Amino acid sequence: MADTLSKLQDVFRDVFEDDDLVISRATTAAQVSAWDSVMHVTLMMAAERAFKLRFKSGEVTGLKNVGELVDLIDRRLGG
Amino acid sequence: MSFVDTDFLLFFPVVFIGYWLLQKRRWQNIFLLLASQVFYGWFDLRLPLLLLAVTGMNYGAAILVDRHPEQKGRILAAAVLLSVVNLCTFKYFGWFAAEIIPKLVGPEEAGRIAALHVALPLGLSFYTFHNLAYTIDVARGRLRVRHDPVDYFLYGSYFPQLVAGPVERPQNVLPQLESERYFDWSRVTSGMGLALWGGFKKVALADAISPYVDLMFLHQDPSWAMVWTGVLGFTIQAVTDFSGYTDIARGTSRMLGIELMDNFAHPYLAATPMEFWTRWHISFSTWLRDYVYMPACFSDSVRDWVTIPFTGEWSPFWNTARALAITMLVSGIWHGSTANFILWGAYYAVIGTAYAAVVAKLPKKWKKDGRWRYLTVPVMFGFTLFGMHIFRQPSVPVLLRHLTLNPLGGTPEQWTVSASMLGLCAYAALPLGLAIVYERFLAPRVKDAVWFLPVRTTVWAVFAVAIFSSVRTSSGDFIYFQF
Repeated sequence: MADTLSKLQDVFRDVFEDDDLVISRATTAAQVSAWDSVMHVTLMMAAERAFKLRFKSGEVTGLKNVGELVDLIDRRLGG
Repeated sequence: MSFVDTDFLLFFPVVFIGYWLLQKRRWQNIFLLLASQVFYGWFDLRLPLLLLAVTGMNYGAAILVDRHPEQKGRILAAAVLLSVVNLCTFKYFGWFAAEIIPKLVGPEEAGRIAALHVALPLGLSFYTFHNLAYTIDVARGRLRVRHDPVDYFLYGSYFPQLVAGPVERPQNVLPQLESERYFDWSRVTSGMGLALWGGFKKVALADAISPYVDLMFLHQDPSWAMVWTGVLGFTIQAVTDFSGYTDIARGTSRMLGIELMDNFAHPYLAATPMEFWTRWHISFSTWLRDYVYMPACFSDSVRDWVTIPFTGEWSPFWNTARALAITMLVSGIWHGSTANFILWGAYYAVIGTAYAAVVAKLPKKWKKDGRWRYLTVPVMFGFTLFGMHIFRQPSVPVLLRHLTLNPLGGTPEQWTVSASMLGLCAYAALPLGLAIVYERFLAPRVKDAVWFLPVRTTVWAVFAVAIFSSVRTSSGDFIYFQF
């Protein structure tokens, strides 16, 4: 889980072009500047690429925070 | 009935008084449900039957999904298919009868079919999407099913947002309809102010500029300046007309204690096409985002079926570009069957993708600098003008001819007409500009001043006088009624 969060942090930094960005399980879209609905799609696709998996649209629209995204990735990776 | 009919000025006070006298939520909902059928039946007595059929189909489909979760995919597919077939039958019958049927059958038979004159029922696409959102969300497990027919049928046919949106979401409206509403004088006055502002935008601004815009677009041999001042006029007419409708819808609904979502956020201040769609017709844009764009981004069948040439794997950029193309095509087809709407959808897909590609390459510090918007907003407004031209001009050859006109050409009379049009545009745009200044800079500072209340009341009185003096000459139609 810690690995997932750490890898996800790299994805966030890449997508939001911010090398100082630090995320935690409690981070929400409201706390990250520019994390709007359009960037959300880009972020999810970048995460798909990084973790080599495919999300369903129903999975990525209901996420409340980074923690739920980490759990989703771990679940999909069978972790 | 239309919001700017004199009938509505009599209808709404009766509904408002009756609704608040009833006090109990159950009776209020029954009363509003009946009032909504009267409102819709005022256009044509057959219309409420169609509305009840669409609403009833979604009400039943959601219950079936809940009872038979193992069959939810099939039930949802059937509900979506029925909705699309029903919508397309009404929406494209005219085009089909004129363009396709004569090629399939003889002219006599084609004439008989065309004589059926199947017209698009007002608001059908709006309440189809509005109801479908509920069924999809229940099937996706995002919403619990509703069994109370009064609450659901009221959600499906609530009159303030029935014929031209906002395309509401069940998560916003249903909980409000299921809760007690209490009379709140401040909400009533706030709603009245919003409705008056909406009415003012419609009858005093949009309707004032509309006949001149029509003349510009009907002109057989316009100059370059006439074309583009006409397009500018339509751009202002479109936002005053449609946001005017929305504000009346939201304002009257607020007076009944039910808050509807905002539909416009100064769209011409957008800096990119994607930002434009978060500011223009927000309820429909977000509907498309959630029910078309997102599935198109993440659906395996779309990913595997529509492959991208020359790329070995799907990259986030091309995947979103493909989803945007599908979404804008759906949006274009939804707006109409003529070639210009398809072209309009393709135009936004292309500029949206191009912007995404260019913005990704720009230095980070430029994007973070607020002053950057002084350049990007006017550039985006130029793209919006071009999009409005495609949207308003049904003939693609005429559109292409307009693009070849000489910017300095035209007779002195044509320059005078263009200058007059520009003056009209300034007249109609000025209140919109003042509204932005008021909203952003003045309102937070002056709301507690002693003079605020009398000034606000005076402004509302001016709106009311403008509405009452113009309502008889208003066409009563809103641009988005045709969609």
